[in-house]
Amino acid sequence: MAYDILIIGAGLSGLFAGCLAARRRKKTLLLARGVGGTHIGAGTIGVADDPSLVKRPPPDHPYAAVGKKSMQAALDEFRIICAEAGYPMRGEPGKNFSLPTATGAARHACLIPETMIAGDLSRPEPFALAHFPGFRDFSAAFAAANIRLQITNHQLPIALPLPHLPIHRDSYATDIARLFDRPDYRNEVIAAWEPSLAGAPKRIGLPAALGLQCALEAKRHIESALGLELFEIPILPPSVPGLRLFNLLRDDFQNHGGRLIIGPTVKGRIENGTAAVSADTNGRVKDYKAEVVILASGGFLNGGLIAKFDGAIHDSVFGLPIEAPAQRSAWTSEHFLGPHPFAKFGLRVNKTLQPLDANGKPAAPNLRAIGSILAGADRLSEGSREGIELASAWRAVETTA
Amino acid sequence: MPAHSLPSLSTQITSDLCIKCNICASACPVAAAADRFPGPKAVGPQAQRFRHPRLPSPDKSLDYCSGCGVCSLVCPHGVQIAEMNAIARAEIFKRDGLPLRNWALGRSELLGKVGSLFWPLSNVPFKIKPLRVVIEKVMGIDARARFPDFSRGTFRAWFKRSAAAKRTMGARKVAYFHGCASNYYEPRIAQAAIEVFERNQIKVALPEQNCCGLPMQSNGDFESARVYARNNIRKLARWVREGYDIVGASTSCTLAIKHEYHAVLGIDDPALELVATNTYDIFEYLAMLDDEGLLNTRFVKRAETVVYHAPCQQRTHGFGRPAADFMRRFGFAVIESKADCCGVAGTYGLKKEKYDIAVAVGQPLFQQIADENPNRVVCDSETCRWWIEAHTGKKAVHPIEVMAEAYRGRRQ
Ligand SMILES: Cc1cc2nc3c(=O)[nH]c(=O)nc-3n(C[C@H](O)[C@H](O)[C@H](O)COP(=O)(O)OP(=O)(O)OC[C@H]3O[C@@H](n4cnc5c(N)ncnc54)[C@H](O)[C@@H]3O)c2cc1C
Ligand code: SF4
Ligand code: SF4
Repeated sequence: MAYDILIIGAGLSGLFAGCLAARRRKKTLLLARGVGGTHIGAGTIGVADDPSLVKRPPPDHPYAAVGKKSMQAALDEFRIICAEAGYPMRGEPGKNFSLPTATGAARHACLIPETMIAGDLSRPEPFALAHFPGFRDFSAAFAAANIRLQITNHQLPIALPLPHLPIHRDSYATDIARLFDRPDYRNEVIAAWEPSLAGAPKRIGLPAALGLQCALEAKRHIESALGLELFEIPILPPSVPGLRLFNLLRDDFQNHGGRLIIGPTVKGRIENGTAAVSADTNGRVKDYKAEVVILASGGFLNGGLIAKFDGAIHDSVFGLPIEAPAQRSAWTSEHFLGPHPFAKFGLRVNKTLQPLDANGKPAAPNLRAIGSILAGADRLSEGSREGIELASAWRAVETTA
Repeated sequence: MPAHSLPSLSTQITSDLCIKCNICASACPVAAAADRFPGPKAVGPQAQRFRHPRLPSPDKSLDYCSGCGVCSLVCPHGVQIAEMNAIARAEIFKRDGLPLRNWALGRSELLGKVGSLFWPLSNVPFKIKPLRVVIEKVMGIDARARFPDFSRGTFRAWFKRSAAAKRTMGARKVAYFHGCASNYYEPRIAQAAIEVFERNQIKVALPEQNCCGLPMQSNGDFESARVYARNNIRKLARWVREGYDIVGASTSCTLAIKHEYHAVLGIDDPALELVATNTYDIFEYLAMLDDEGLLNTRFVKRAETVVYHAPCQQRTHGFGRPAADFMRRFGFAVIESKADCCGVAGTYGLKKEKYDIAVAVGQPLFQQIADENPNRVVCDSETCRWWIEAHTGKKAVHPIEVMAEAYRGRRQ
């Protein structure tokens, strides 16, 4: 079977491209070795800490390639997909929320799930952070001590007991989220929390684990029973808000007829100027045919880019070379948290998102690259990771129309 | 023939690729159902650092891993977690001795041989409650676990009598791997496969073969599993050399040959490479024929709603879900299961200390089946079908039976 579009990678960009393509009735196949960055991200959409990055991006930035129109269209359609799945994303492009992190710093995002809305740090009402005794992936005291350095309307952290946490091992956030999906469990929680909440502010921040399938229902149920507002704070992986996005995009893709295969490692090659793809199906290599191939295999963290000890960097699917200083010492800067040159390594693309070879020519006319594999952005310091993923996915699918 | 790719890193070494992202932990169906199991990251790549012949074993809870393989599929870094766990489990049993129960549950071929010899009497003991209680006490096989009935006569006996064996047609040749389930319990599935081959003018042969060895492997008895694996490699290689493709409908048997003989049992020889690269799950094979335009697609359309559960072993093959696509072409409304695993994972759910966990793992699937209330459930793996039938009361069939019906134009 020949596909219209074959996508490599099941992170935010690959899944979103899949949804867009399937919604446009393209015969679409998504292949990925495993799941991607959604499970380790915050489950929010950051476009830029500084809005001028979108308005006037540097010429080699992915935003310059995708254009402003793609960004707006991508965010609009992303919101439609989330809302249709019953998990609406709040906010608007160009205006950032300021939200507390698990370490008590402030971070920015323009689209956030309703479960995080009440955490908006610009709101004046007092709030407190809560931890779940026995759950070690979030310390309210630690986060609160940091928040205290920045703002004044928060109060002392509190402890909210959770019944039925695992006793034979540590809990994962997913354990807690699965419990919160059950209405009977929430009733138990409400009874158990009531005494601890006497005198506490009416705005409480919790580790992000308020349910996997029915997060909004869980939040509203507890809020109305206890007469307060709750907000989730993203914590260590596995990220429950990220899993929700993964699940809803996967379901949307498959409900629109998209084919998804997670597991096989994909190899690409360029034959007579055309990108061709095959996958290792545990014992045999199978060829897949497609009009257009979209490479969404991520950056270094998720295996889309590979750096060799000899200093060579290439993409892991097609082996396309990546420009970088020969001296590895030039890849990093002195400050651990500061901007690093390696953050901008990746595939250079034109406005059609075709990866360019050393001569600045498209490596293959039917190939596109999207998401974290793109060169030219320092996603962490710009706060641009998800904006690049969504906008480039939208633009890539548009070029196949 | 397609190029082959045996993994270049040894299975245990892949633990070094782990970045501790917990993606596998969030996907593991057993960790979600039981806190006695710390999850794939902890018992896989994390414990692997401490596995050393002269150090105390870190594997107190490893045996709760069902081997479903979901973790290996979702890991973005290529860590072969499930495979690593299977190897570590075998090491424990090598050290502590194999429990009688694990020995017995691994012996599906022996059980099948004895069962068909004494048919129909052989079906009785599994249904005698007091006896089952004794078996549970002595061996730890849960008294509630349902066992399938031995069939009257084996598939092999049927095949030797049937006309299919003699009709030689077409250039394409298949040596059929039936596995224990089709031979001793459900010959109808292998018969449906033969019917589908006939409709496609494919010549079918029945090679000498043994149990694939997977039941022994997953019960920690690697030495016996390797004996069976080597026998199969030897017996099947002959046919491959004569131009036959090895095809089977039992998706876990074909996966064992394609993947686990090498990645789990550690067998590394050219004959395995020859056999593994020419072994196919039946729907992988039919989809390939279809891609090449060689499949007979004169299906008689018929409307039916089914729930299709692609079992974990089927997904580990990595070729997608062609059975679901085919059924849609037969006119079916196919509701795909959202569950990663039905819980039973071969013989895991039959064990006393695991039965309740396995039922809890299967709950989302059983619930979906109850909600959709289809006529039938369709699933490629025998142990999953039996487990689904026992826990939903629905008939569960193999997609190849549905395909045979689609050629015939009626249900059997
Ligand atoms: C995905 C993820 C995200 C995280 N994010 C944060 C965060 O944002 N903020 C935060 O504060 N914490 C975070 N943490 C937690 C933090 O990384 C750990 O708490 C911290 O790294 C622990 O430091 P360590 O030195 O004890 O162990 P590690 O950093 O794990 O180092 C152990 C070292 O020992 C080596 N080693 C182990 N066994 C052997 C052996 N047998 N022989 C030789 N060497 C061996 C290992 O290779 C490794 O180099 C995160 C953890 C994970 C997994
Ligand atoms: S998914 Fe893979 S990399 Fe992540 S923790 Fe599990 S084994 Fe490690
Ligand atoms: S094989 Fe299945 S049960 Fe075992 S660790 Fe992996 S996901 Fe969990």
